[in-house]
Amino acid sequence: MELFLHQIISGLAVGSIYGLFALSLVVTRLALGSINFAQGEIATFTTYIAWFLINQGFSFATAFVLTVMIAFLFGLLLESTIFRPVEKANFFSQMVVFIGLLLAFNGLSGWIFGYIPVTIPGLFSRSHFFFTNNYISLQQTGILCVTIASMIMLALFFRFTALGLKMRACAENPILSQLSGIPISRMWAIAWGLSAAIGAIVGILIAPVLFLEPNMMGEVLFYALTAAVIGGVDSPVGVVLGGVIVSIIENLTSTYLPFAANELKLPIALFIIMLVLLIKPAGFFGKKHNQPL
Amino acid sequence: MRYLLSFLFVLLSSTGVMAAQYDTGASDTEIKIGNTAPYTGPVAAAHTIAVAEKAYFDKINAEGGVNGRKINFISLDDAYSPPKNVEQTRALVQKDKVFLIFNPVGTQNTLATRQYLNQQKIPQILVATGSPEFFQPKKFPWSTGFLPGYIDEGKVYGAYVAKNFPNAKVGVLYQNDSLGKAYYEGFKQGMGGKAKNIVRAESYELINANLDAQVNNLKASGATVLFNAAIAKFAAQSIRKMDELNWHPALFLNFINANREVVFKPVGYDKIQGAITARYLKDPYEYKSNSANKDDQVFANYYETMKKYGPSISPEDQYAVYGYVAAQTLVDILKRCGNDLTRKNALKQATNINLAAEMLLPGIEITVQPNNYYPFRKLQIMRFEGEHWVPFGDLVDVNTLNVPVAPDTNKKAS
Repeated sequence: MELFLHQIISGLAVGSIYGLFALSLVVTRLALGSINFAQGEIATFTTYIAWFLINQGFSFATAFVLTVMIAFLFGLLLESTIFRPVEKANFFSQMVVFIGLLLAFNGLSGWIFGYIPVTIPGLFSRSHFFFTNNYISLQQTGILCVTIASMIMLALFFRFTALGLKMRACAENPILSQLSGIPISRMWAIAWGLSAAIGAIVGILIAPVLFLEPNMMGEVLFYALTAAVIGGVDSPVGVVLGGVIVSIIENLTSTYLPFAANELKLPIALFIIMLVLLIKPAGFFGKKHNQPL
Repeated sequence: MRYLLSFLFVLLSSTGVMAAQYDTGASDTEIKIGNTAPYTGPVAAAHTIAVAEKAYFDKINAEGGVNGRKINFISLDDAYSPPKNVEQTRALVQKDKVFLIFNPVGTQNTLATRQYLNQQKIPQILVATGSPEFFQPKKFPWSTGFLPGYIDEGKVYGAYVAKNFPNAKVGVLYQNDSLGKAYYEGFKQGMGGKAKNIVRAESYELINANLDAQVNNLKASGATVLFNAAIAKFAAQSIRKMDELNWHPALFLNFINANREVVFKPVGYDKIQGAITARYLKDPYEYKSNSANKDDQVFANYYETMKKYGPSISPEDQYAVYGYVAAQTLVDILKRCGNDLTRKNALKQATNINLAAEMLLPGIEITVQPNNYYPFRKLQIMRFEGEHWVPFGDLVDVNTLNVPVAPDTNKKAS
């Protein structure tokens, strides 16, 4: 029973990481109608900027704020230079651009900062624990809180603010949005900036848990995408729940299905997820789209 | 004309100079050496092996080369990926026309070209792997490995655990591929009859984002001894998680993990105290931090070479030490080739090595014979204390497994 509880809470903690990162995917999905695969590598790159600033003697708080601002501007820059030429192209052309960006940023991080893992101090002290049984570290509790807060803020932003609604309108129907006077290029630029900024927050929060190296986000992207699909890629609440579900399923299969050799742990977890999608193709909270994802 | 020819023949044979023999890639002035290394991709940290090798060859070239020939070291990026390794190795062979392939890094990726190179009879020597795949003189004579065998190393830890913790519950954490499985297999072999004490073996995939679930399971199994054969960042993540869970079993790390730069510094020395590993390379960190080594000429040579010819990488990097040793071994092979720079002769020399290379631990030598390709057959068990590796006991022979008795401080788990 103790192990069961342990794996559930551990799944909650790790799942919130997947969920938080999936939130930055939701932003591009809601505002651009596509998913930016380079998101993870951009996040890693901006996390390195935070690491660099901290090593230059900036306090953690200053480095954090500066990095998030830099990331936002960086997102704007990427949108205007690289994404704008293909913004009206179909999803597959955009995907090629995203994959190109992924490889470029992965190489860039390695080239500039090297491949040896480094660590940055946690936002929350890691030497103390929330529960007496050491179920979850304070850093992970902090991530969980940030994830829930971001989820609520994004859900409200896209539902109730004028800017959020305009961004969604641009993704749903660019031509009509433009006719009704919404500057869609500016909306897209803001979406890129916003998702890069969230990515930077994710990177800084999880670097103390996963260790910072150029490939840090590769695996997280894989899980975040799964989380997004299972929860419904349009829904901030959905993707966070999706992250937690994926993570808990994986933990429990590893503990309670000993007949499944180690080789089959991950496939079984993914198989269960596939079953879920057979029943709810758009994910738990997703809307049905005619457009292919 | 005939007289002239016979005169020349007599002249040549009387001076005792045999005309030099060359295969593709070798000439009077240079020897082209091909190499692949992961400059990008998941294990890019290991590319410093090739940088250190280049540094050593540059030094040799500056001193006049090998038997008067310069080493032209061509190292390409294969990103640790089998298809890229095929592409780059073919480029080295067909476009660059190298003499041989030396110390390509990795197992799965280099396996992708093993068949091709053996068919073409091109030496694929000193491959940076300890996988049993590369120590098969009968099946693949042209391919030789250059690390302690993963199975052999696992056996050493297994024997040590069986001897010193005969009744402890044992956990194992390994990477679910040929490398991790070889370690696990060796560990079980080394434990012999005590292998039944293994209460839980957890593996992970390279796609796993973290190892929290595995570590939770291992702790819950009640293990008081852990053989942690996870690699690089996975090792760091699992050690951090163990500390968070306040779980402190007697910890055994394979030498790939016992890497100061890649694992220990990121997780912090305090979390590795008392960890045990088996080593064969000297740790350059001991040169600066341990005054007993201040006058050690071997360290001095190493630092001088790295400072002058490889300033872009940290000399404390364990991978750099490995590259330095591998490069010395190649130079030894090429020297013994003399003027017979045929691939056949290169393989002959590469399978007859007896070299006490610099930066190997005292008493450890590289020995390769035509019927036994394993180059390192003795390992030194060490314990991490403070910020140093402290050796204890005699060198352990991987065949007799004469493991030492644990120092008192490590007995708590039994």
